[in-house]
Amino acid sequence: MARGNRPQKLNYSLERWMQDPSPPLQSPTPSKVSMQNGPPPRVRGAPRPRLLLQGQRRSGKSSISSVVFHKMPPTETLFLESTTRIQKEPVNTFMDFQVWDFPGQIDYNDGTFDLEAIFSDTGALIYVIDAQDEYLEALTRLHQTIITIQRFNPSINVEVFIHKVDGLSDDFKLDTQRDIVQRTTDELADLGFDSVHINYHLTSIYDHSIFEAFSKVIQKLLPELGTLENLLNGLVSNCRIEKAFLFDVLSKIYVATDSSPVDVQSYEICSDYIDVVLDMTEIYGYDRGDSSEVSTVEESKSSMGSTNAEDWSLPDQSSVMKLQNGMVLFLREINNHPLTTILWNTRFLALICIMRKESFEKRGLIDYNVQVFQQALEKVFELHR
Amino acid sequence: MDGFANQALPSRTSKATAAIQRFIGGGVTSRPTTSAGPPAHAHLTPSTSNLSSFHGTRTARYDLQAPIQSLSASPDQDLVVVAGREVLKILRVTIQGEISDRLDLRAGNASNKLVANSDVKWGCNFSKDVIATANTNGNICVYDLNRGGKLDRIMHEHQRSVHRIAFNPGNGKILLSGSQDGLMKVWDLRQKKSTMTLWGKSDAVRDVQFNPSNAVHFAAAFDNGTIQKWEWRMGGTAHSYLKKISAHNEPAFSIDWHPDGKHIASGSRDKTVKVWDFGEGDSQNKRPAHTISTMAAIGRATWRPRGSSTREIATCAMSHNNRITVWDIKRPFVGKYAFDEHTNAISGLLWKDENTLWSCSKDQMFVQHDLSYALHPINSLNHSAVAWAPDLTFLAVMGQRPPPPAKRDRNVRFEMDDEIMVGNRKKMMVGHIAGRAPPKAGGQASGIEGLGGKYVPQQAVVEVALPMFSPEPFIFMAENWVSSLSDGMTLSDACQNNAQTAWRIGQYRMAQTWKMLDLIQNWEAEARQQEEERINKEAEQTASKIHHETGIFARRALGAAATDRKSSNGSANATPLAKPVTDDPPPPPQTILTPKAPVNPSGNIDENLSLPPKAFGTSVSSSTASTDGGEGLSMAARRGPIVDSPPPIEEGKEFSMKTTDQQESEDRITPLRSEIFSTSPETTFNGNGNSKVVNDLEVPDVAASSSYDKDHNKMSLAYRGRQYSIGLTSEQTSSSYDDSTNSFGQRARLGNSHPFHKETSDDEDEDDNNRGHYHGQSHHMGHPTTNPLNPAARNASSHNLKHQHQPNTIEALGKDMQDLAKDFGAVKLEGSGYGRMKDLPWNLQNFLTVLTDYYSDKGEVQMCATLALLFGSLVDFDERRMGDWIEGYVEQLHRFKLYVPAAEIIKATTVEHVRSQALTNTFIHLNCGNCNAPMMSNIGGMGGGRGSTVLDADAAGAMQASYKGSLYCESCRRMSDGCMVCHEVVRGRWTMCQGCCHGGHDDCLRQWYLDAAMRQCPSGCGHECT
Repeated sequence: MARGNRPQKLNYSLERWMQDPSPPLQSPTPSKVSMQNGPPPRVRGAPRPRLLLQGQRRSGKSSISSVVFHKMPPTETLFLESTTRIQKEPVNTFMDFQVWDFPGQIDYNDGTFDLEAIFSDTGALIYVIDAQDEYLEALTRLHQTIITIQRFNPSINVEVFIHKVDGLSDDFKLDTQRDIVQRTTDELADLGFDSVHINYHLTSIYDHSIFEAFSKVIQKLLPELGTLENLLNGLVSNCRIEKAFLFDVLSKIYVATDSSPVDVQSYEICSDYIDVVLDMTEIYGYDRGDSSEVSTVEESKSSMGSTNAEDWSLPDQSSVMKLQNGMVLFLREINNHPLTTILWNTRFLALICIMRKESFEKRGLIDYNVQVFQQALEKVFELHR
Repeated sequence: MDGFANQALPSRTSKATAAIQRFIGGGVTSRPTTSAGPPAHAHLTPSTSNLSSFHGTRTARYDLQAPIQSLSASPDQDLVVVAGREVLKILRVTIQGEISDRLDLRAGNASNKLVANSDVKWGCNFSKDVIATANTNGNICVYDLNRGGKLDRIMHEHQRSVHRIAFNPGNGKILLSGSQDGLMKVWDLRQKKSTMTLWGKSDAVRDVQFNPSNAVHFAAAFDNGTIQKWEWRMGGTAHSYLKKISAHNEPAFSIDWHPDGKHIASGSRDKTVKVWDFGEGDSQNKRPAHTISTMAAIGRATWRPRGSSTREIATCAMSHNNRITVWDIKRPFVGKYAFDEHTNAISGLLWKDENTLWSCSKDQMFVQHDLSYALHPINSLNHSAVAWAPDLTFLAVMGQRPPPPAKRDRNVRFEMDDEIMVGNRKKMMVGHIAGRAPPKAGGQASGIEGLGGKYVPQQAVVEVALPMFSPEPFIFMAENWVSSLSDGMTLSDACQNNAQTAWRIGQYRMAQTWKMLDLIQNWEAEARQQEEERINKEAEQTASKIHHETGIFARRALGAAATDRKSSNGSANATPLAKPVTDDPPPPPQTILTPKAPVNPSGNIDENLSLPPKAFGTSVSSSTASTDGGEGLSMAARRGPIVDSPPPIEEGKEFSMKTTDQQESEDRITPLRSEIFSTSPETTFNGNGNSKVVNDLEVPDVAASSSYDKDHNKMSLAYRGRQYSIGLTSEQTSSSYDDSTNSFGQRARLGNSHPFHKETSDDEDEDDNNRGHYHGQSHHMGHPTTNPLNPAARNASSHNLKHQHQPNTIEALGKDMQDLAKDFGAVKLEGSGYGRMKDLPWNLQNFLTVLTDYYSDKGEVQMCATLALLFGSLVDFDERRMGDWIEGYVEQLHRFKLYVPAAEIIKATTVEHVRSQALTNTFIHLNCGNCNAPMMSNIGGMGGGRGSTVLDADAAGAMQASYKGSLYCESCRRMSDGCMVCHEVVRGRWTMCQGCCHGGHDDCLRQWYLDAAMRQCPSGCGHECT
């Protein structure tokens, strides 16, 4: 299985990304990568999923996309210029998809837009509503958009982000959501579109909620989600892992998790952990040559915990962090065979497990099971060839 | 998945031990708890053992050696099945709380078909012998207990993990399952396939539960925070829910029907448990009936089974919190009971009966809790609170709670329900428990909606107004006092103004203080002026006299060196000279003998007092005294006769009193005492024989005071000599000087062996560690010194009056003032120089030090701060203390909402951190002139004021470049008002009239008002701007 390719591919994962802070964002197609790494060209039959970000002006669309996909600190988004034209941003993460940031001012119903082209192969429409502002106008637009979209693409996922809820009290959040849901449901029912299923998310860029909402949106676009989840469930139960995430390290969206409830702290610590690992990679990582089979092992030290020397023979990047409260974080880069990365750029995927110290004692078992998990992932992706 | 190696390796050994245990009688099966409640067999007094054994509830634990995910009880509640990732076991729990292993359902079945269980349910009525488990791979496994727990069938239709299953309480053959894929399926165990599939159009289903009182309804909780109500019979026809509530803004993990069948409790990751009306009525009720806010994300929530009116919910956290809390919905902020038995996240909760709670946890434990032994979080809370108001009144709130009952009443106590139940009900509940009667719904309010109100604790509120501080004078003075000199105002004016203000408000002492300050500073200013002239005159003279004075310098240096040693000794009152001799070489202290005074420098110097000049005979008498006594007191007059050498400014005519220790010196003085007494007649003191008598009368009371008096006399002896010399030099001032010397005598002795020490020592410096010393001795203060004749004594007396009544002080002050004025007059007549002034005890520095010490002791930060502000340039204040005063004063002003005076204080002060406070957070928030909405993007700096407010729009910076920022209102979408004259947008500076708030370009307005000489506003509002 072209063992020599593995380390080579590693170069384009975490390290590569960090050395060149935003190549995926600037190059619309991963041409550089494909030249060297040689993944087969994208199969055109499977269209690149497209996420449409829409909403009123100043509702926070560009902020969302900057925070989630550009790693912009939320406080910086205050200074974003308003978007004037459709920003098509290819997001080369685990799965190639495009985020189209629609300017709020654009009225695409005026006939100048090729609505068919816009909507036909769109995976999800994310409609952003500023919860701190008057949203009636936004709702009207939302209803129009839904009706328009239904003409071209009835299977689209409509996701409504009730955004900027960080400024609202808990009660008011719920009231706002209730009101929006009620109005939308009534309006669509009146127009005869009551079969449209809309998901509502309360989001804010200042906490995890935007990531979680995006995770859910993207998970719905994955036909393999159930399989991934079952795989993770198996892994979790056999290794006594408390919680396992399959993360996209660039956007910190989790692609899949096991079926136990996600709690906020777990997600946040994993997300911070990714940051730490990326930073450490940036400092200590090195560009490994094609022939090198030695992998970098992150020796991340948590503030209180200690780190053991890791197994150096592992072909993939991995990292372990021991927390003071007896928990262990375990990160493993999911580094699949290049042939499987047709639809999926799995090089941006990482498996992060949270487990208790006692469970981590059987390191060999975990490594073995993770390997099994990886092989299973490969098989899943091969199915999509 | 089957390829995964299984970690449940210890399960084999655990199985073996379990088997052994069964044979040998289960020695380790049940062990009484050691934490929380008392061990069950201990503490059972006869009165409670009856009840306790009747209930049969004991806290008990059982270790299953694998994390547990869920539990379910058999219909007759003596068996419980626990399920986890690697375990599926039936336990027997006896009434006494003994837990034993009954059956391992995994043992007999092929292990490769078993995956992690996420939920387990024991069947009911028609399916008593059926156990169903939900698996994370989407399977539902059914076990048949009649066949020894063999795996009966596996139902696999869900594609993703099944989170919760529920047996229909009406028909045990009906099973409902909720899955991660968002579907709920209804199964009939008699049929192969699911009978119907329901889709909630929501996220993953986290919990499903049948309504126990109306089994055709069930409720479901979803990952997107909604809860829905369904009727499963309609599933075939109406694929829709009956009711849907967006209950939480984070995933809802648990629901539980209230026993009345009309309400439901939902627990969510958003850390709340909400109780909803889920009855038949209109679904428009979108508000929760109750909300309980907890500390952590809720994993499970179940009602305590207490009849149809139960108000209590047991909750456990999903993670990060291992406590089980039982809440009363009427008291949603404090848990009623709590259990801390588990060491890891709790995964399952089940009420066995009203007072027994079963729980299982990821810490591998199954625990039976007895509510009788629960913690009462309310008891560990503080029931009282105290808060101060700015005017020094304070408010205390105390909860009225019954005293904690005696230990043997333990069992009864939890039925008392704290205060939530009212009297007769309390009794009834106790009786009902004792008699085991069924709950009488009629006697209680029906259902939970009847108990809508929140629990209101009975509280006593006490408002205490302390007479320590009255806000009116404070406010008045804050508004009217001059704290910084404006143009043309002299310090004298400020003092007089402040004095008048204080007088008007009835603060006589402060008024007097200001008057005194006025006098002193006037006089000092004059003296300084004269001194400057004289210094110029004497510049050449001093040069020639340097030779002559070397010896004097040496002697003076002795004192200074001794001072150094004293401070290095770490004496409690380190008192370096305020005006140390600057240019003297420090000779070794002990080698030089002064010609007149044989100095015997002892270990410590307590005092270095600056003396008035012309201390001609001082050294003689004092040295006599010291040699006589052999005590560590010596005075060195380190000056030549004043007639010979007019003093340079810096020459302090201090005499040093060197004592090792207060107490020691007193001891040493004692033998000397009679002699001094005999040799120091009271006639030394001309003007104040009365006070002297008072002092002497009180001498015998306390040893300390007697020694002090003696000391005092000794000093006066010394001063007699000095007085004498004064008489020689300037006859006309002798009488006034008499007072002053007297005052010095008092000051000296106060400083040495008396609590008043502080004032005198502070004359030389403001060292704070005097304070401790001072307080340490304050018990000496029992003797009021009613000598009103000099500043130090005045100070002392006012200090005394902290313990005494006030009018006395005022009287004393009045007299004091007169005498002081006389003194000043006299001294002024004498016309000595500024240098002499500096050495006088009432020079500005000393006086202010004393004043600020006094007022800061009194807590009059207002006075201190004002003094510091006014005199800060003339006098050296300790920077830190000054900062404290001013900061405190500003804070106090803010508390009284006196922002303008506070701003003035901040403006006037030189203290850095107070100033810097004022320089941060100075934002201007603008509202649009048209729609009144805040204009978000303009946070400008403070505009400079030149009669009219000038807003520097440039501060808005780059935003403005794109026609945004302060000029454009987002809300009404138009540019803000431009120039009133030319109606153009104003960029840069916008000048406005403060009267009518209209403005515009500088140039336009200049043309309008100046060139065209218009008087009215260009906007036409009619305002006469000019």
